[in-house]
This record gives sequence, C-alpha cells and structure tokens, in this order.
Amino acid sequence: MIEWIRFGLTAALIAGGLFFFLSGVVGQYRFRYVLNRMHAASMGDTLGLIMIMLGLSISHNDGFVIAKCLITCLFVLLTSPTASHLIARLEIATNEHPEKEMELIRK
Amino acid sequence: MIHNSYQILHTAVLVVLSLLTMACLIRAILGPRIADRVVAINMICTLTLAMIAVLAAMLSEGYLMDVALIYALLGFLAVVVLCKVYIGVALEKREKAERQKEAESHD
Amino acid sequence: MAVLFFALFVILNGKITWEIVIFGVVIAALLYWFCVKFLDYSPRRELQMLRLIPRGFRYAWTLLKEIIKSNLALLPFLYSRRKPEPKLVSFHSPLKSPGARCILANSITMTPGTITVLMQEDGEMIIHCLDQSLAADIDTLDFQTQLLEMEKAIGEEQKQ
Repeated sequence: MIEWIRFGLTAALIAGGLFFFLSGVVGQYRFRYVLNRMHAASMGDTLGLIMIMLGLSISHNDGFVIAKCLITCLFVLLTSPTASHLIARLEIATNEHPEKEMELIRK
Repeated sequence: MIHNSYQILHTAVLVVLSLLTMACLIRAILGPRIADRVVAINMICTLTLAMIAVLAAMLSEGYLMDVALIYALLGFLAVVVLCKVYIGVALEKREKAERQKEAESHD
Repeated sequence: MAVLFFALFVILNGKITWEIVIFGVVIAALLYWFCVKFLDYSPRRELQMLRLIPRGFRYAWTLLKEIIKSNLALLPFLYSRRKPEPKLVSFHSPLKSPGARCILANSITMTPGTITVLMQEDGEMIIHCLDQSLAADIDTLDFQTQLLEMEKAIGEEQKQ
C-alpha cells in the first residue's frame, strides 16, 4: 500500500514538473522578444527541475542517490540566475535599439 | 506490478521530455537573434539534465546522477563562455563603428 | 567548511568504508588549508556565518514561496490572450556589502518574471519585468528587508 502512495506522489510531482517545462517551451514560441522568452525559460529552470528532482528522490531507495539528486538541484539553482544574467547582458550589448521593445521606468 | 507501472511512467516522461527537446532545438535553429539561440541551448541543457535523472531512476543506477551533475557543470560553462565571447565581439564591433565615424568626421 | 567538504566527498563516493573516510579527512583538511591561505577564509568569519544559519533557512523558505507564487502568476500570460507589457525598471537598493547585493540580484533573477540586467557600483539596479503588475512592488520585497537584517547583524559583530 505504502508503495502505491509513493508511486502516486512521484507521478504527481513529475507531472507537475513536466507541465512547467511544457509551459516554458510554449513561452519560447508565444513571446516575441528574447528577454520575454527568458522569463518562460527560467520557469522551467526553477520550479520544473525542483519538482522533477523531488519526485525522483521520493522514488529512490538509496540515501546517497537522494543526496546526489538534491545536490544537482541546488547546483542548478545556484548557476541558472548567473547564466540568465549573462544572457541579458549579451542581449543589451548586441541590441542597438532596446527602447523599441520596452519602456524605462525610474523609481 | 509496481515495477511495471514505474517502467511505464519513466518511459512516458522520457518521451515527453524528448519531444520538448526537439521543440527547443527548432527554436534554436529559427531564433532570429544570438541571445535567442543561447536561451534555447540553456533550456535544452536543463531538459537533458532531467532526462538523465529520470534514466538514473529507470535503470536504478546511482552513478548516472554523477553524469547529471557533470552535465550541469558543462552546460553552465558553455553558456558562460558563449556569452563572454559574443559580448566581446559586440563591444569590438561597436568600437570599430565609432572609430570609423570619427575618421569620417575628421575628413 | 571542512565538514561540508567531507560530506560532499562522501556523498559523491556513494558509500562509506574506512579508506574513503581516511582519504576524505585528508583531502578536506588540505582543501580547508588552501581556502584559508589563498581565498582569505578564517575560522572567525565562519563562526559569523554559523550564526546566520537560522536566518538563511528563513530566507530560503521565503525564496521558495516567492518562486512558486511568481510561477503561478506567469501562467495566465502563457495560456490566455493577455499581452504582456515588458518594462525596464531601475531602482536604488540600500544594501552595502557586495555579497548581500549579489544574493539579492540572484534571487530577483531566480523568480520568474523579473531579470536583473545590470547592477552598478553604487547599488543602482536595472531590472527587466514581463509586466507592469509584476514590477509594482519590486523595491519593497521581503528579500531586501531580510538581507538588511543579516547585514546589520554582521556589522554589529564586527564592531564588538
């Protein structure tokens, strides 16, 4: 019985993660501009990966493998903001007319 | 019984993830700007990471998680190097254009 | 720090035997010596960090809640006909130390819907937002108040 509960939890978490990955890919096609697409991509990077890793670590039996899963997840959470920050810098550096796509507010 | 249902779940997840990867690859080929392609590549990297993690659970081989960790490292490194190189190229181009403008104004 | 190195070594090995434990202790000690010598760590600074751990956990919890909230807030833009109105917002953050600023910028980037584009030396940050509604309360977030508290705690200890 408890095995089936574990299976149900795993399936639900993985399905949620897949849904967030799917919405990330949908966003790649729906939005018109790179910086808007990056928001969709970061959705899959954060919650999608967290949910899939949690689901898989529920289904594992070995403690060390669970720890490895969580370390991988933590590593991606640490590096993905840096990567998207660099991509945004790249976009600002290569785009000649950034004002066309968005407006600037000062607070 | 439970083993069979885990097998079905993992296979279904792998199929969905590979379809999403194909969609991302098409975006990377279509992408009008450089940053578009880099975002798509970053996303492919995350999707492949999830695929390797699912594969580790499917074959119940703990060492595949090490492969996932190294893959995350390499993907991050690839994005950082690509961004640095393209930012350098863009800055050089801008400098060259400014120098040309100055030369023209001197004439 | 040395304990963290040792735990990482054992986890990456995947099992505990005597050889692995002995090698792990030696390698962790060597790495710790390297960090103290070249990356200016010191036992005193680590004690300060240890005192920040409860606040760090609270910060991580806030971050997780914020990530889930903003993920759900982004879904309507994907699956309905609402058009997003992208904005560049610039604001001034009162944080002083570079470490706290780096954490703030990373957390802002990590929550979907907002990306830190540039950060200047004097704490001026330029942030790209997907929509006006997501940009409304960017400079009164929970992150900033919590980080300010942490910074203040470190500052008071250094005075004593």
